[in-house]
Amino acid sequence: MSESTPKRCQDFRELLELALRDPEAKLEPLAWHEHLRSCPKCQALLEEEEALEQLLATLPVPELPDTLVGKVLERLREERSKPDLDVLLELDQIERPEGLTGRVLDELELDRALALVPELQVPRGLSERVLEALEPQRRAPEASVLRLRRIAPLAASLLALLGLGLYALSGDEAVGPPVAFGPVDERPSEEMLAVLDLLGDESLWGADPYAASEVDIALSLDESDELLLEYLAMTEEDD
Amino acid sequence: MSETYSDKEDYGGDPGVRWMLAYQAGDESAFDKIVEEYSTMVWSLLTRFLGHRAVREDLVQDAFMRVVRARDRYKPSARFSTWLYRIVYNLAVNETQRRRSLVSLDQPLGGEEGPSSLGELQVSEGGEPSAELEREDVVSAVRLAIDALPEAQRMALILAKYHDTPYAEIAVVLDSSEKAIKSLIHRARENLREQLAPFLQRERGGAA
Repeated sequence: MSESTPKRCQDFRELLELALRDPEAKLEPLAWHEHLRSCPKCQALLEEEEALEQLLATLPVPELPDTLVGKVLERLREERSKPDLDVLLELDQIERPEGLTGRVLDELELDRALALVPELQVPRGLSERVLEALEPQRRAPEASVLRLRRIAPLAASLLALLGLGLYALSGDEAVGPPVAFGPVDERPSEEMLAVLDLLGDESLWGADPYAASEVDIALSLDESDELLLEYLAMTEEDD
Repeated sequence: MSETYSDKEDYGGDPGVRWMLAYQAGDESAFDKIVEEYSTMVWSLLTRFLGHRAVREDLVQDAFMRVVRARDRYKPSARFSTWLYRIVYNLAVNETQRRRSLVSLDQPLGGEEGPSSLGELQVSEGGEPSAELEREDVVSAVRLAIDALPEAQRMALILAKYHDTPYAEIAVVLDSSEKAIKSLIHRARENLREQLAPFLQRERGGAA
């Protein structure tokens, strides 16, 4: 209300405001207020407010969906079984960079999805045999190790392929198998091929397997892919 | 007004407060009672504040999840409905802001059903539309006008008009003063009168 509004108008509008505070405002009695006889502005305001009250009353009362209460109670039960992290992330009171919750929840979702993937079944004793084969190189002097780190993946893969190739060519004759794989009596399994693939990964030959750059990994994968293709071509020819 | 806010020291008579304290003390069934008793209120408030958006169901659930999470630290400092209104207001404002960030600025922020701007609604003059169509237009116009209000004005008006909430309680919900609420509602009504001017004109003409 502006300061220039006459005192009588101010008084009337206070009365109007008080009447409007009531959710079921009854404005009719104000229509008889003596101030309105001499004030068309307040008269118009009263009529507008009455009309506005009628318009506001047209909004229907929202109806609660029948299933909503059940859904809320069901979600509560789910919530109780959730990890604390989920609950924490959903609290909007926590200040965080925009999108963080979504990203973290995506990661959690990914983890859950990955957990559904069955673990690779590695043959019993395989890791010991691989370590045993690597032992001589691990004991080599530092300089040799550095040189070996460059050629070892290729050499080991070739050695393995050579052994497997000889075995495949030899038929039933007893031929010494490659040290890294132990005795084989049939076509190498998928697990063994996976190990062969791993042996081509140069990063695994360093002191810190996680220190390899992305370029190293890409190169070693390319090399091992080539070796695998060669190996598969050889076995197909043998068949 | 059915209640003043002067008796704010004692909320023991408020069923929501009693159930919440019981829930805090370990009575799980008290929470079921809270959900059953207050779901309609939360749903109505969200519908009036946000319009008919699909997200309302999720927000009702979110509101009660916040009640669950506040279980240990809850202290009755107001009527339970006032506390719950505050939770709902925060969620609704978050949703409005989230939606605003998704919708480009040249699109109106209306509900998901019906016309999206008051300009699409015409007050019938020459033709003779059915009474039902006219009523739908009026309802849509009122909804859009309320949607167009700034958030605090909108919430204050809705609580006062449709939820019988005293100004002092609205002040708690909006973290403001009673005087500021009076001013907010005054401005909200001014805005509505301006937005709905053609409909008000017809209403006044019809009443005359």
